[in-house]
Amino acid sequence: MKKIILLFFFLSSVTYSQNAQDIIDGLKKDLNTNPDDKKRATIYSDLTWYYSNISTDSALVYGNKAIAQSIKIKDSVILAQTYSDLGAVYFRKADFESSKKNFLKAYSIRKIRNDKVGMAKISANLANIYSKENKKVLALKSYLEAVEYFEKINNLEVAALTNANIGALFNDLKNYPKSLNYTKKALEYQEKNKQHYGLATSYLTMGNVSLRLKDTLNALKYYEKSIISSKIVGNNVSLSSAYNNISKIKRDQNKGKEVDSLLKKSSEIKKLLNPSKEDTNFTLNLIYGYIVNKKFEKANELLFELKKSYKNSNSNTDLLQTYNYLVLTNSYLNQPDSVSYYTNLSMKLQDIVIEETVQKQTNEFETKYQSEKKEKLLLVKEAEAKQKNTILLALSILTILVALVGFLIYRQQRLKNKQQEQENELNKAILKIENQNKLQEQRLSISRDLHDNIGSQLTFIISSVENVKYGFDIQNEKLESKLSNISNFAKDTIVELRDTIWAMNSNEITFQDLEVRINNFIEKAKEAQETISFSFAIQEQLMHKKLSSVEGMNVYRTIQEAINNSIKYAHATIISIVVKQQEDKIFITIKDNGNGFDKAVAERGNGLKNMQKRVEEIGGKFDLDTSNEGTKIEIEIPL
Amino acid sequence: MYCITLFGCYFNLKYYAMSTGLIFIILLLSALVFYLIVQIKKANENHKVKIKQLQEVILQLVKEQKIHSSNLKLSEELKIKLFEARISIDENILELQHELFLKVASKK
Repeated sequence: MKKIILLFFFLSSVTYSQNAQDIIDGLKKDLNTNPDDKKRATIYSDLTWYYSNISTDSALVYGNKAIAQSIKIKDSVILAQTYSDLGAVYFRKADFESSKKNFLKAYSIRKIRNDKVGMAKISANLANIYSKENKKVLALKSYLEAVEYFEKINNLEVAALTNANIGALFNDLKNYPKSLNYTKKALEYQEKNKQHYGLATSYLTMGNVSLRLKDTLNALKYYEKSIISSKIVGNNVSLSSAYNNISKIKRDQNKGKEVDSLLKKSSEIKKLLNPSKEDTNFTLNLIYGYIVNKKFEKANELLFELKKSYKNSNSNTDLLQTYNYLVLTNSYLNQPDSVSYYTNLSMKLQDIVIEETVQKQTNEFETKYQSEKKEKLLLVKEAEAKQKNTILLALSILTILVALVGFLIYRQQRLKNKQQEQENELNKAILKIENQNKLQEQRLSISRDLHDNIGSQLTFIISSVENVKYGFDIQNEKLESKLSNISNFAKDTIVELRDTIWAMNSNEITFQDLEVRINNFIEKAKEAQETISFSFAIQEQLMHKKLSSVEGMNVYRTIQEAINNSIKYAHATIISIVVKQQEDKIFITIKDNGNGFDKAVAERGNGLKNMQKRVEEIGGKFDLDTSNEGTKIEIEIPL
Repeated sequence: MYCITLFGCYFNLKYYAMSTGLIFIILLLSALVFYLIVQIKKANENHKVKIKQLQEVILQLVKEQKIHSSNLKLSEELKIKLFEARISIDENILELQHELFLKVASKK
């Protein structure tokens, strides 16, 4: 096989269950009914696709119209589809650069729209281009990725078409078992679902592989099947390829007449398509066929046509091949001048081609070197920019950290000073209080010494008076009275002194201490007035409550004064003292059954005033209630 | 100055040294910040404890002061009482001496 024709497909959701020409006619009819802009854009897009198999020029015209219309209505879906269809049309024209450009435009639109299915389809089409550009590995990789995706989303129709393409690619790579494997996989689905468009190409691949494996019978069988399917869907590309490939088999079998007929058919179908590189290859095949069948004049005619075409397109390599064929045909036709002429042309062109090739390779190498250099430079610049950014970021963090450290040190120092100030203030307060305490202690110490001296002096006075009273027989009443007065004053003062010293030494006085003291006083009162009945009770919960020495002393003196009043002035026979706590207050009640007293008269004396003063001094309340039936004194002290 | 790594990417030695240095300084400063924060917290706690102790001492001293002033008050009261008692005793002694003088004078 001179050249394996790679069969390609373009992914589309349109089914080929009816003839493409019929569909085109239908679409054109729709176009005449003045549809709206969107419908018009869709029809143009569909016409682009259906014309791609019949007439690439028409496909391009409708493609451009579809693009203009979809841009006008701002419909990105139709725009992407049209670019994709145009990519397919250019592919068929063998203009791979334009095809790639259109596919990439469609890809970028679908990427923005996040149309993953569309992106996968374009990847598969790009794989076709890679395949054509002889980047087989890249193409295979893209196909395999696409098939995996289509199988995942259960789009088995497109998956089958992609498998067929992989099969064709493996055929190109001369891996025939794998090619058969993938193509059979595709055929399985396509035969089951009567996918004639896919079947036309898959059968053709099977025929090509069979031919490679020298299985001519099967090759013929598959080519014939491909012809049937191609006719159903109107796929002229696969149809002409099938006829052309059968003609090669027939030529090998030396069936000249059949070869002619097949080549004619193939040629006629090809003419329907636009000339492309594929077509010139086909013409070369045809010429080769004529030469093999010794139809040199016909071959010459075609070669002249080709020569013109190649000269116009400046395709020196192909022109050189044409000259070589012309040398061959003219030598068979006994045209020595022509042979010599074309030999010269061929040699000159060969030099030019070699020079061109060398130049092209040098340029390519230079371009490659320059682009690599630029890429390297770009990489370095990118890296520098990134590094700059990183350094800037790090410096910013560093600045923030330095500021933070400065702030923390400043705050620490300020806090230290503040704390020191607070501590100093407290220490000063402590020192001041300590000094005051020391001073008070000194004063108290002096007082205590004084009290001790006075106590001993008073005792001396009492004993002296008593000695005088009992040592001398004093008949004078006045003298007796004065001595007794002195002795009583001294005794009272000593009692007062002892009570005060007791209070001062105690620092804090509990109600228990107070109870003992008052009981002692009551005992002494009882000794003086045996007829009086005393009752004294302190609530148990109050026993351990503490009073300051002044408070304790004032309470004690008040109770003492009240009892004295009851005995001396009210002539009471029952006296009761009750101390209890209610909420956060202490209530002391002193009650007697005496004959009471005149409040106005009593207030003139110091006794009541003193009692009231003492109670108020410790923040309490004093209340007196007196009548013929008795006297009641109520004292209220806050706890 | 750029070097090519095993992976084919580029990096700058100067940048590498600089970034390593910066990272080191950042780490150092971060540690310092952490240390300072901990120190401030510790100093605050210590200060609170110290203040509490000083306040307790002041409370104790004030309590003592109250007791002292209470005792001093009692002492003052007693002083007045003693003064009153002394006046009374003085008066009685004076009267007694007067009586004795009268008696001695009548005997003569």
